[in-house]
Amino acid sequence: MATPDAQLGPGSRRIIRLRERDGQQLPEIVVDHWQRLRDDEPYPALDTLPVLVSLARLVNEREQLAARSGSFGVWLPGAAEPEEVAEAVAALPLVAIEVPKFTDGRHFSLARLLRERYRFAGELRAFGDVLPDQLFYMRRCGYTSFELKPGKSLETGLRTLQVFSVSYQAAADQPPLYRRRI
Amino acid sequence: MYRYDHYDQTIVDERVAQFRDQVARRLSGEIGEDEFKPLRLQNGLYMQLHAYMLRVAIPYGLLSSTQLRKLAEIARKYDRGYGHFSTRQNIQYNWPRLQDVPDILAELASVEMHAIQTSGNCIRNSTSDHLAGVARDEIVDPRVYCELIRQWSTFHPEFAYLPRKFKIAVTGAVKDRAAVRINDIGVRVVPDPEDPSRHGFEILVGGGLGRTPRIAEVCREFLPREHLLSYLEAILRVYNRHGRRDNKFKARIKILVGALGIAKFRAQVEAEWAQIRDGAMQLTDAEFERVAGHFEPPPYRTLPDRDTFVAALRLGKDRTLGRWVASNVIAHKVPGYSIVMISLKPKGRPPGDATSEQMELIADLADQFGFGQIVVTHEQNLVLPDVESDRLPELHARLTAQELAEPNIGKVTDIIACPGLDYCSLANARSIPIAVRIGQQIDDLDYIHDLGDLTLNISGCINACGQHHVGNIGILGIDKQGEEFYQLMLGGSASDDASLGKILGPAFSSEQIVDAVATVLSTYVDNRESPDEPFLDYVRRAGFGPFKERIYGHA
Amino acid sequence: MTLWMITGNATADGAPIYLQTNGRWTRRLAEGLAVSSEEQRDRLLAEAKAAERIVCDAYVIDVRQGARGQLEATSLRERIRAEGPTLTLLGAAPLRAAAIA
Repeated sequence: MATPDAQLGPGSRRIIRLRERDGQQLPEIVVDHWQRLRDDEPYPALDTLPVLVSLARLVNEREQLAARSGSFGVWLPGAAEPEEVAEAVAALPLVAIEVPKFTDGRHFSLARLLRERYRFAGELRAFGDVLPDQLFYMRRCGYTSFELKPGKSLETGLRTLQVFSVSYQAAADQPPLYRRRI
Repeated sequence: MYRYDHYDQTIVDERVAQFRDQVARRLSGEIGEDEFKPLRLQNGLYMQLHAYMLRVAIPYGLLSSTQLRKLAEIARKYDRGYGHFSTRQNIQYNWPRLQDVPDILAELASVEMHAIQTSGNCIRNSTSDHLAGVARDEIVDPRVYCELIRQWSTFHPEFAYLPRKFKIAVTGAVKDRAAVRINDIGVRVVPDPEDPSRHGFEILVGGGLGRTPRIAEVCREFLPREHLLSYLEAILRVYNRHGRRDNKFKARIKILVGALGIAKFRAQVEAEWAQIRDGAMQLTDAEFERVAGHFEPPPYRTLPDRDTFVAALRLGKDRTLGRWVASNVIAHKVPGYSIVMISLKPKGRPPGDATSEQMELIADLADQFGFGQIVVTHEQNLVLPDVESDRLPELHARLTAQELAEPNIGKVTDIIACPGLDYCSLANARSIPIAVRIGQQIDDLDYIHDLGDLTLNISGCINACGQHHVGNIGILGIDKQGEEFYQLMLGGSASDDASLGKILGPAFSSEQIVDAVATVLSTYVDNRESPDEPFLDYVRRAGFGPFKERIYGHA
Repeated sequence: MTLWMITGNATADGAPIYLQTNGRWTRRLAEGLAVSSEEQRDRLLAEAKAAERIVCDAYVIDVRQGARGQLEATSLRERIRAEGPTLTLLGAAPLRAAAIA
C-alpha cells in the first residue's frame, strides 16, 4: 500500500523514478527525501538528508556541502544553457531541472544535451509544472525521475510513461527507427 | 504511396489509445482545460466559434481512394456531411463531438491516417508540391523526403513544446508549387554541385506570414542528402532553445532569424549541426531506398503522345469542355497522360469544401481513371494525377454531374479563403461570403479565362491563414468599430518570385469590396500590354497608380 | 444600462452555451440570463470557470434587448456565434438541443 502523502514527513514526497529491473528501466513510485533549497534557505538540521542547491550555491559553498554527510546535487532552471553547467554538474548524483510552465519546452533540450552530449550519468529529475502527459517525452530526453506537480496523479503518470512501444526518431534512449527496423 | 508497416501502424494505434485515455480524463474532470488543451491540439482538435474543429493530416497532400472514402464516411457519420480542405493540404471537420474524436481517430488509423501534430506548438504536417511524381519540370520526387521528415517529426520528444508552431515545406521541381519561401523551413531539392548525378538540398529558413510576414532566407546552399534530418534537428534545437517565448506574436522562428540576422543564425545552426552530423541520425541508403520504394511510378501504359489531341480539345467547338481543359488540365510527364485538377470553387459555394457524396465520387474516379490516388493542393483543390488523355471528355462529364468541373483553376475565382468569422474564433471579419460574392459577380467564364492566371487570397484576420500577403490580389478582413472592413493588397506571390503584397489604400466596406476587386480587374484588362501580359507582371510594371486612379479617383 | 451574459463552449461538443440560473446552461442566447450587476457578473463567471466538465473558456459578453424584446448579442462575432455560419451549409445540419443540464 503506497504511503499516502499526508503521512509523509515534511520535505518528503512521492515521485516516479526509473529503476533497472530485468535489463529494462521500469518506472515505480517511491518516497523521496531530497531537500530542494532556495539560496536563502539554511541546510536542514538532519545532516544525512540529501540536498539540492542552485549552481551558484554549489560553486560558493562546495566545502560546506562536502562536509555534510548527506549527498548533494544541483537544481537548474529549465532555460539553463547546457554548455555553461555541464562541467560543474558532471559528477553529481542528481540534477533536477525546473519546468517553469509545461508549455516551455526548453528543458527538453537541456536534458537531452546533458545526457547525450555531456554524458551526464547521474539521476536527471524533472520538477515544477510536470504533468503526467509529458512524462513519456521527458523520459526519451534522458530524465530518469519525475516529481509531478502537486495534485497530479502518479498512478496516471506510471501509465502515461509507457504509452508508446515504438518511436521513430533518435533521442537519448535509442537511435532512429531506421537503424533498428527489422 | 507510403504504406504502413507494423511499426507505423503501432504508432498510430497507440496514439488513439493515448487520446482516448486523455479524453476520458478530461470528461471525468481529472484534468482541466488548461492541461487538456495542448494535448487535444497535438491531435488536431481546435475549439472554434460553434464547435470543435478536427484537422486531419494528409501528409504532403497524398490520399488513396480508400482513404478518401473513409474521410467521406467520417464526414457523414460524425459531422455534417462535408469536409474542408486547408491551405496546408489537410482536411478539416467543423462539427465533431469530443467523445467521438477517439473513435474518429481509430477509424482514421484503420486506413493509415491520423490527426497527429496538425496543431499545437510542434512540428506540423510537412507540405509539398501537389504535382509531385507527375510534373514535367520535376527534378526529384520530393515525397520521399516529406515522408522521412514526417517520421522524424512525429512525436519528436524534444520539440513538442516549441515557442510556436513549426511548418516545413519541400519542393523537388523547377517551379516551386510548395511555397517553400513562406514556411519556417523550406527544402529545395537541388543537384549536387560536385556531382550532378546526385542531389541534396538547399535549406531555407524563417519564412512566414501573419503579423510579421517574411520571405525565407538561405541557411545552407547545399546539404548532402544523408544529412537532411540532422540538419533539421539542429535548426529546431536552436529554435527551441532560443526562440522567443515572451510574446505569442513574436515567437516564430522568422523573428529569431530576423533578430540575429541570417549569418549569426546560420552560425548557431552549423555549430550545433557539427556536433550531431556524423552520428546515428545520418540517413542510411537502406532507409532511403525503403521509403523511395513506396513512391515508384505506377504501372503506366505505353501510350503515344497525346499533346495534340489535348490541344484540340482546348480549342474545340465544345467550349465548356475546352475551357475546362485549358484551365484544369496540366501536361503530365508520361506521354498519353494528363493531370486533372478538380476545382472545389464552384460559383456560390464556400471555397475548398466537398460533400461526402463528392468525395466518394472522386474516390471512384481515381480508381476508374487513374491509379487510385488523389492529391490535395495548397489552393484547396484536388488533383487526379494520372488520367489517360483520351478519357478527358468522359471524365469531364462525370465531374460536371457533381459540380466538380468549374473551369477556374489558377483563375481569379479559384479563391483561397480562410474560414473567417463564420467559423473561426480568431477572425475579425467574414471571408467566405466575400469569396462567394466575388464568384457570383465575376462569373463570365470567357472573361475569367481572358484575365489569365491570377491568385486571389482572402484572410479574415491578421493571422493570415488565407495567405493574403502572397496573393496577386489579397484581401484582409479587419474590424473597424465593430464593422467588417476589408483591406485590398496587390502584388503578392507565393512562388519562386515570392513577394509580399502591398495595401492599395483605405479599406473598403463589405458592400464596396467586391466592386473594388472588379475595378482592379478591369483596370488590368484596359491597360495591359497585351492579353499575354499576366496580371502580376502588369502590377509590378505599372505600379499602383492606375489602380488607385480608378478606385479612389486619384493616384 | 449595460447587460451582460456568461457564455462558453460546451465541453461535450464545443457548441456555444449561455448561462441561465442555478448552474443551468442553454444553447439559445435569447434564453440566457442577462445581468446588470458587475458583482453578480463576476461571481457567475467565476462559477462558470470552475465547471470545466460542462463548459470551456467561459467569458462575458455584452447583450441587449432586440427590437422584438428578445435578448441578443451586441457584437457581430457573438451574433454569428449564436446563430451559426452565415451561409448555407453543404449537407444536412442536425438540430441543436434546446438546453443542456
